[in-house]
Amino acid sequence: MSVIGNLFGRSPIRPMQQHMKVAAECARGITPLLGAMAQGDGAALDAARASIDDLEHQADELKHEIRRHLPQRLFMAVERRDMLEILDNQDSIADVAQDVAELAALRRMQTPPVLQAPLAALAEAAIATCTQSESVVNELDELVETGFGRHEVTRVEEMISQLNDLESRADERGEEALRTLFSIEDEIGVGAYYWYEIIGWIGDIADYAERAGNRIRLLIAS
Amino acid sequence: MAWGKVGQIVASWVTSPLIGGVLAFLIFRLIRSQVLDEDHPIERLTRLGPVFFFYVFFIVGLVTLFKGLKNLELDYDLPTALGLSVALGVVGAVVGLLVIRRAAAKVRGVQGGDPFRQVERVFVVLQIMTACAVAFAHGSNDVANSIGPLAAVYGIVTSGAAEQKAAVEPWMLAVGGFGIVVGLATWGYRVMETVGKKITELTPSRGFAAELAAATTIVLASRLGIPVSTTHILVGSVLGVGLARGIGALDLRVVGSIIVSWVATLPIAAALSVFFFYFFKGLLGP
Repeated sequence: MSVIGNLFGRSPIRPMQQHMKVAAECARGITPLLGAMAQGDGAALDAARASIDDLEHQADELKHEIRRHLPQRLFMAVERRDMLEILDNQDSIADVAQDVAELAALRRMQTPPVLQAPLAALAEAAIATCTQSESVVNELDELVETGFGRHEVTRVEEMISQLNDLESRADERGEEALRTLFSIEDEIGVGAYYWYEIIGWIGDIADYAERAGNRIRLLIAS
Repeated sequence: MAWGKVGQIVASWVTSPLIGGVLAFLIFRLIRSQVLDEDHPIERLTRLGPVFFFYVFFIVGLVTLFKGLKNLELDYDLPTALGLSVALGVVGAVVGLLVIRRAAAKVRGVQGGDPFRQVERVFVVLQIMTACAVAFAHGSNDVANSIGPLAAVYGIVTSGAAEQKAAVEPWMLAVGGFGIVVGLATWGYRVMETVGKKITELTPSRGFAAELAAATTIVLASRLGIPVSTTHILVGSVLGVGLARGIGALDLRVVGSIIVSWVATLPIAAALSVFFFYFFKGLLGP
């Protein structure tokens, strides 16, 4: 009868949720980073970057663990490919946050005063998108528990719809920030390129967060 | 050697888990759409649950009473057996209704609960019922594996010749039953604990669906006189629930090992039997 005991495999859902939590924490690290950049505080900048690096490393470890434990023989309520794609998008959140931190720290970037508010607003929108995506991913185990029941599915679709709205908002804020950047590009010279990168990357954080959530909409539908 | 019968038995090893799986799939889909997806799941279950109770008691009754108790000299004709089974089913439904209502009341008494979680607690009642049904079905099928040869040997020893149909005396049934109870009381407890801890993902609603499907399949096989593996049918049923997306993750290695056992068990057991037969024959003289 131990046959029945061995029949239940290890579901990757909890590890996935754990990974998302770390990736979202990594994205949230952008706030203190931007704070340090606005102040021109070198020590704080390095500390913020170290923190983001650490979290990104944790996320990588978790990602490898999850991939290692998704053998072909595991039959799941959620398709393997869907899980792996969601995982990739989650991980990209952490990767991009690390890119931002690395560039900012290496160049000792100090935010031009006029750019500070738009940049902070963009970061807030991106992080809000991440947080919403985290909530959606956290519903995965509920989805399975209710056997993809009608109520839970409707609830999650609602949440993903909100996620789409948040990403649109982040897009708008990104545009605002770029507009401000282009207005001062002559003043800051070649640095404009690097600020362009930073703005793009923070926008990407929201993008990847939305993609992770959208993938879940697809897997509900199947 | 009735090779035709052997072929029939091997075929049933393969088809019985499949049937269990299909049934479990359908049953889980049914309870999901009729109970879990509904707005007031506990109320729905209170109305649907007794129907399941009726079904199980009816099937068990019918299978037992109609040509099932011949060796105990109780042979009912079809109309009588049907009538008695329906009556038994109704009794079961009433009992079920009372027990479910009590469980539902207890669950509603808890403050601030999510009805969609709480309905699982009410499903526990149904799962216990179907677990008993599986135990009954298991007994009706598996005990034959040990008692059948006993009956055959006893028949040979008492009449001096190998008969086609060995009569199963009541005392043999008692021996079989006693053996199962002793096994259960000693090792069974430990095994149940171990398996129970490993399968926490099998919530009561899923367990109910799988066990109802398994019990039905096993009882059907017993009625047709086909020996089947209750474990394999249960695995098939659980997989059926998994296919309906009721379970997080299932390890299909188990399925692989089952298929290997189908292929290997019969030849190996046959070879060993042949060996032991000639061994004892040589040992004990002509």
